[in-house]
Amino acid sequence: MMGSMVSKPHGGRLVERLASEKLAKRLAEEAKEMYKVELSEGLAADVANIAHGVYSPLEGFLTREDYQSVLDNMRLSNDLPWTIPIVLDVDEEFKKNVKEGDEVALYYKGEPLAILYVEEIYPWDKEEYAKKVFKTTDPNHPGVARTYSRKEYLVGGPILMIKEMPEPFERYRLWPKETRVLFSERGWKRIAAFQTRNVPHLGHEYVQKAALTFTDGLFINPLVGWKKPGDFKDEVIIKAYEALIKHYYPKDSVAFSVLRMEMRYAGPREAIHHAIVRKNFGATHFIVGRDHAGVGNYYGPYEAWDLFKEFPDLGIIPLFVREAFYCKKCGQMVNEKICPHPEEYRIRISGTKLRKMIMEGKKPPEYMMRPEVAEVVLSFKDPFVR
Amino acid sequence: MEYAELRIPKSLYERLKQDAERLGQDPVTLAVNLLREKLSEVEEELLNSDIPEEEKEEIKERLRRLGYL
Repeated sequence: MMGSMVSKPHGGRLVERLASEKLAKRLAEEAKEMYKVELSEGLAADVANIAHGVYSPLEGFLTREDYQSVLDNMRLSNDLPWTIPIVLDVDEEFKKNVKEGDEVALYYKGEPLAILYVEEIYPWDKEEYAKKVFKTTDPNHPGVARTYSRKEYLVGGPILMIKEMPEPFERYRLWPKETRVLFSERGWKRIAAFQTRNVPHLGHEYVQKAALTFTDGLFINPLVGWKKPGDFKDEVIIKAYEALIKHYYPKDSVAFSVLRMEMRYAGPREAIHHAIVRKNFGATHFIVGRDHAGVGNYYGPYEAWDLFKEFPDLGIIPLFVREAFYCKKCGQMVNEKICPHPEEYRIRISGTKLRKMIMEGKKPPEYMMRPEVAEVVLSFKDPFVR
Repeated sequence: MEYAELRIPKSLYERLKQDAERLGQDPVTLAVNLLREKLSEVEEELLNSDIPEEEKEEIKERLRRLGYL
């Protein structure tokens, strides 16, 4: 029984909202006559993630009751944990032209992507959203800024996908159904998932290998898609991981695939969201490090750990791993829990420092980054999002 | 969030209260969390999410092609 091998999907059933080939063809024709909404890349990715069960149990964009419940309680209205509202924003013109019960065509880059069955159109309070999801209304927060730039109404209802979204990294795109088969075929029962938006340094490797030591497999699943300026570009992250895995990981213990999903930078709430998503991929454990999904100083370094305590029914085990650093006395990467030596022996890997070195074309020292990884990163003329 | 009342045996409530005290928690919060935890396990067991054999073979083929298997 495959289902008994890996985590059950969130809510118990892996959602699939994909039209059959025949139906998709017909709907693509009908879409031409429907009211059209052109989606951004992030929203199109949300549609694909709903359709392929990444966001199970969601079958579409949130209706008002679920939306409010997620904001207020961090749970759907049926009490299932859910912390980030998956919403589709629409404008005044949409509200004038579309009514509840209508079918709307969702387009991406001029092609019909999915049909939305409109259940509800409702206004939203962006400031309330920002306050509850990001814990701040500061427009300097990248997630808040994006929220404020969205349209005035939300539309909720199930979707049905009729065409796959083009994926530049197709070779590394796996959906939950596929990872579930993969994990099962490899005989993995305990799978630790690692979320990232960075190129790997030795601190990441330490955390991943610590988790792999007591699980059967490591699932490295970087996010691709919109990120804030200064973050690493998708192709750089992918190439850097290719190098790391090739030179430093046992091949049969690691699975690497990408997930197209926007970073929200919502810190603790987003950490829970990332865990739920990886549960749907079949992971049984989820690595939560320092300042998960954080940005600037908006969240405490281990604030996400506390939030996990409020979700005993999450269905995926969080692995709380402290920040790793190099200890000159221990002679290796360690963390506060296992190293007794004072700060003077410790060399901390600062992301800012690492970025600065790379920006200046300097190779980071080996206690920070594997030379093979550094070479790959430095081979890019401009590895950062502008 | 709306609430509903639930009646449980007094003896069970006493146990709950004692355990909650030891954990430094409110007994109702503890009961709700325990219920949530247990119910999610039960519900997940009740639902069958296995992938049909034929589809599984197709997936394996793609995974082989991509070098995952």
